[in-house]
Amino acid sequence: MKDLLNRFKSLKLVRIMGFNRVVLIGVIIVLCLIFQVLSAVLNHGNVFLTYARFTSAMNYGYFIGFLALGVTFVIATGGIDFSVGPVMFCAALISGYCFNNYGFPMWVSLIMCPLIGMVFGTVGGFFVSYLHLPSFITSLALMQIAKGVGSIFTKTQNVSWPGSSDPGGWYRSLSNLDITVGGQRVNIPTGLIILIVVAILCSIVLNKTKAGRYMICLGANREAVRLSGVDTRRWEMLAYVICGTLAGFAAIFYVGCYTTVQPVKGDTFNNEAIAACVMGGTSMAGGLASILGTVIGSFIIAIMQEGILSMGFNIAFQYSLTALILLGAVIADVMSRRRRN
Amino acid sequence: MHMEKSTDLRKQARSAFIRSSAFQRLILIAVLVLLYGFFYLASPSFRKYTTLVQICSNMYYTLLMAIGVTFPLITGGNDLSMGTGLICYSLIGSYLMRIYGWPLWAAILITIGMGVAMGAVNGFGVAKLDIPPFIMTLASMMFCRGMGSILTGGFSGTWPDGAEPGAEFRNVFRLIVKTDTGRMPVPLGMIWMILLVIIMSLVLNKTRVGRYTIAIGSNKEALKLSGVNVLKWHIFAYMICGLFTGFAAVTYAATFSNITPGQGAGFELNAIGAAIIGGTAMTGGSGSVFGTFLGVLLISLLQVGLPFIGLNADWQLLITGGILLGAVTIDKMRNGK
Repeated sequence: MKDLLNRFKSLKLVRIMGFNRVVLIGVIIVLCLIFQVLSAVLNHGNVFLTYARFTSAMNYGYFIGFLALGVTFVIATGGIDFSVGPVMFCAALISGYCFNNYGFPMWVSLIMCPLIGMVFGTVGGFFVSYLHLPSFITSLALMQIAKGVGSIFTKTQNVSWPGSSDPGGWYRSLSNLDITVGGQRVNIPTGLIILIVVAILCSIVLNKTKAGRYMICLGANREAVRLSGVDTRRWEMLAYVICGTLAGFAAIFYVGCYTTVQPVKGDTFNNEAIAACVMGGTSMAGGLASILGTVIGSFIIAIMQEGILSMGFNIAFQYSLTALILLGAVIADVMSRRRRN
Repeated sequence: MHMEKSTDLRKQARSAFIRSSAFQRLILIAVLVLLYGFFYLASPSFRKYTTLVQICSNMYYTLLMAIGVTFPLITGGNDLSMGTGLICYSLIGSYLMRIYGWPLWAAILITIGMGVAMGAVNGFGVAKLDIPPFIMTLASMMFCRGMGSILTGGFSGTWPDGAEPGAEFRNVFRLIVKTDTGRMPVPLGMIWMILLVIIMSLVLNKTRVGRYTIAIGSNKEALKLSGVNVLKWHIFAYMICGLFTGFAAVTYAATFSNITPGQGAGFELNAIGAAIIGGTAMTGGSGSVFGTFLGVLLISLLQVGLPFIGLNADWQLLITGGILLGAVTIDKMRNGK
């Protein structure tokens, strides 16, 4: 048995991806099978493994994926960001409101999303790295501020982005492209392609550039980095800026799939994004991050959400289940660190 | 020569006082008076007696959570599960009463008991399993958020109100007295709150519980080496927080009587913010229940006062966020190098 496990671990593909990531993919497959059986049993023969459910799960996965990618950078430095969800909503609210009420062209609104996210990231990063505030309380404060700003700007009203047939609705094809092949409408998940491209970029930044190295080192041993003459503050701040910008990106994909944004909402998404990171093998203590793991983690969250709906349960189950998964992942992380020491 | 030395000493003493948390509380009182004066001058309708009562009823549940969270904060942790926990416990309490016909006192006991149990779970995760406090309590926050809706089927809960039997328990907090000019509400709850603030102040400063709580925050290793069962007292700090969240749940039910599932996220931020504004250090090791009380007063004053000058609830979010950032920055500068 042990021999078999070792041989599996030494496979080339497994070595490239990392053993934990392969296990996570196994988790996805098992989850899909469980949901397939349970939806049939619990929800009058409902079928889980369909293409429609796949795209619907992916829709949820896109924006969670972008949020989680951003949070990965922050967690790698040993910090935490609770503000991504509300920042995403704030960006979507403000730029959508500008499009609807001030006649901004669509491309300007789309560019505004990551810019607004970047502003929040910069502010948060400044407080954390230059003023040395604890990241979790800073991001909690920013969360309130993001909720407040978004809601004040739109006068506490929902903002509906244009539908696909309305003028300016082309932005939706960024997340889902509908094409007609032989009289049949086929949905191409373009968002998945963009998410993968961004994830690859993130992976390069995190693993192959000076900035990424410093961020990971900051999480592993801040004092050593500082003593070797590196301006730690600058690189730490950069992690928050990246996180905020990606939260802004997530906004584009959120509205691309769900159209309407409500003010003073969005804080549940933080938790799911953090859960996705930790599940993917990014250590809460910092210094260890995996972009591929984060992407797979986001897909697990997305599939769980879809599976719970498919079984006919309401969204409340999602919250409680994610909580348990998050706890499980963190306990595993803590245990493995203990074993290593 | 002699003169120089004494002015130097005085200067040192002065700068030590400015850094102390007592000074922060003095400033806080000044800010409270100024803010009240500002609202008083800006809006004639703010001057009514009912506004004062409203400020009181608004602050009860935040104050209880804030007193509770002061303890985990002092140990260097925190508790994010209070807000959604509060809603979850009082939902389940009302559900037990309405569907299973439990008597009021039993529902109240269960509500408080669930708070204590959740506190114990949080404490166990943080103290025994070494999970970072914010992640542990984030998980219980989400768990509570889902659990309240799952157990009650997503319906909102109601506690006894109006002419229903058992509605008298609301009088504990807000007594309506009939006078010759009409009905006058008396914020009785304020008395209990002030009593609790005094009691918990004594607990924090004069008892073993409080001393150990502070010691865990300032030097856990030393406490462990001196033979104290740190695990027990660390969990105990979280259980105090859970107990007070349970109290807050009952108080919330008594004040608003209608409980909607999915609410409550963000309540805990007001409570944590109040504790930090009141001078509890983010890094743990020091804190004051009286300071927390002042912090809650400030936040409730803003909550009730801002609509009177035409700023709606959204502004309040923005302003509490700003105050929280400001308070932590001040805390950092006070305790920093």
